[in-house]
Amino acid sequence: MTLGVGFLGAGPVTQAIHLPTLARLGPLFRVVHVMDVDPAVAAEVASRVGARSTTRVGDVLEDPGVDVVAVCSPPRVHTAQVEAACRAGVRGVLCEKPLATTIADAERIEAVTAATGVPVVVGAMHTFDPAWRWARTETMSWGDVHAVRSRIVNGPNARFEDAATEFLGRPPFPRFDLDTPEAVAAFLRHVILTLAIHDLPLVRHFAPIVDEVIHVDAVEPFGWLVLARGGDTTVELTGSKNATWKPDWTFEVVSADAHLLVEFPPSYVHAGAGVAAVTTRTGTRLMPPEDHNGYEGEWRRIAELARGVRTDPRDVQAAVDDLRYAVDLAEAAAARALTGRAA
Amino acid sequence: MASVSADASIAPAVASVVAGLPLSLAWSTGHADVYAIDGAAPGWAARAAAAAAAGARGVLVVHPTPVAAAELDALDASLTHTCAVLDWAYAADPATALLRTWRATGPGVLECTSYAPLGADVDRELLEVVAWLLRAFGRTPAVLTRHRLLHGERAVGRLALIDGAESALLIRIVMTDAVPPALVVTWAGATQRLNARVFPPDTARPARVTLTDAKGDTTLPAVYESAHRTSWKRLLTFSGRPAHGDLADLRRCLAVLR
Repeated sequence: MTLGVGFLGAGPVTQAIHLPTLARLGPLFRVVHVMDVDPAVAAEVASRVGARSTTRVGDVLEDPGVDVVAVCSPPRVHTAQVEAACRAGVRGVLCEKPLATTIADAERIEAVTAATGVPVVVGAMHTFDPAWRWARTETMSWGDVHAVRSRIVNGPNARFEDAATEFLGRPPFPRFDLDTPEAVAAFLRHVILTLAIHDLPLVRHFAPIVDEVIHVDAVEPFGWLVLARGGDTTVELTGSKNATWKPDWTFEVVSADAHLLVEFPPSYVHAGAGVAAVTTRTGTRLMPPEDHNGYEGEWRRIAELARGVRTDPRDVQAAVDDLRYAVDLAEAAAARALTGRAA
Repeated sequence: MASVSADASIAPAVASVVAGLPLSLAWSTGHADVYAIDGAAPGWAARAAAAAAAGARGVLVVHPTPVAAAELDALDASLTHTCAVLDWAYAADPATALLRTWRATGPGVLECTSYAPLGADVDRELLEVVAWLLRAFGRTPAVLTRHRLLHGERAVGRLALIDGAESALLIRIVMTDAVPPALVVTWAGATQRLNARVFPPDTARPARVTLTDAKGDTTLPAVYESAHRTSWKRLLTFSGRPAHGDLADLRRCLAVLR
């Protein structure tokens, strides 16, 4: 059975990530309806896949051909659109990260999925990346992790979007002046909830509780540093937007006698999975190469859930817990920036 | 040819250098021209001062550890005819000095991770990192805020790689027996990156230093000389003339740690 997909939002993520991914997945899905607030963008993107276009959310949700709704709109409307999709009785919802921007909103989603039984998957691609899946298994017995680090040094989004599709209607990349504590706080919230959030489910796996944010810093035009602690485990989030040719997206975990390093490709590109290595005193184990990436993993999961092949309520619960973790960390980092003290 | 004597604890490392500089160094059979002092052993500054007082032309302090200001003052005063060279584990690596000609074009995020075995001396590891920053960039952070951890330490602050543009600085002392010791440095600004991996001085394994911009990578030359041997060559260059530059650098680094 081919599942019909309706998109809410036809911007960069839909064009550069999801449409190429769905094309690779073949008969699993067929895009039937595309909504965007810009009618020209909606029509053009829909025409690429032979779908209907609209500027109204309701048209997608009322379309009997839509089995799965992909929420790819700005984060501030995620909650309302996920709620509406669930109440419309679709078979599944794939919501781009972040699931919501407040914990209260995430709990609303939790409630509506419990009431309607509609499965929701968050488009956190690293949690579905084969490199992370391999690493999670390899590290299952580690009990004394003391350092968890995510570094995201990445080029301009446009470079990677252009490598994945021919782009239409690109929104401007946000600029931040970092000359006041309030500006730094806003920047850190943005970075944590839009960029670092990719790795926060991985971070939470090893550091489930963050007791305090010890230090934050930000440098123009787009560099950040967050140092936090949970028990005896440090959490470090660093990175910058960087116009060199070489991205550096790495996730590192250290224990007394073992070391994990995962290297992820940049967002938007379709370059296969990340690569992972576990090193101990006896040697290094490398993950076998995989051509499929986390984007495919997201869609395969929603297909399983929408078809009833898999019924795992932990998807939504984990997503809400991940969001709670991210929002708490973002707020604690912002508070640190504003006051110089731990929240 | 300079005659050499060394603290027993570091004699094997010194023997390796003496063997590699056979026309310049030889073990002494009596009075030594130059003394190698174990900087990890308590009282190293006093032993270095004693060697100077005994007529040594040079003292080389291997892996210096933090020392009280009064001890440094006494050592400084003793160096009227003696040169002192500090043999840092990472800062003395010959590739480190190559970075002095590199210039950042703006602020960025600078991360320095020293992977060290479990139980390593945190103060010594942090001192090594700060010394590396000074040797590589000619600067030290004005203030470092230190956070002690069960297996290491984090120190945060800012470092101006160029005037008027401070980078956010994170120093990580990460203790683990999983990976071999190394100093890993990454810096990322808006249009440049720097990556360096520096290895301990026990072998001549060359540091890997890469500078990146929009056009590609520039890899600095691999220098197959151990940091120990590089330090000894510096000492031979200076030997016999009072030289306090390394001790002045040590004071700058210690001031940051306190």
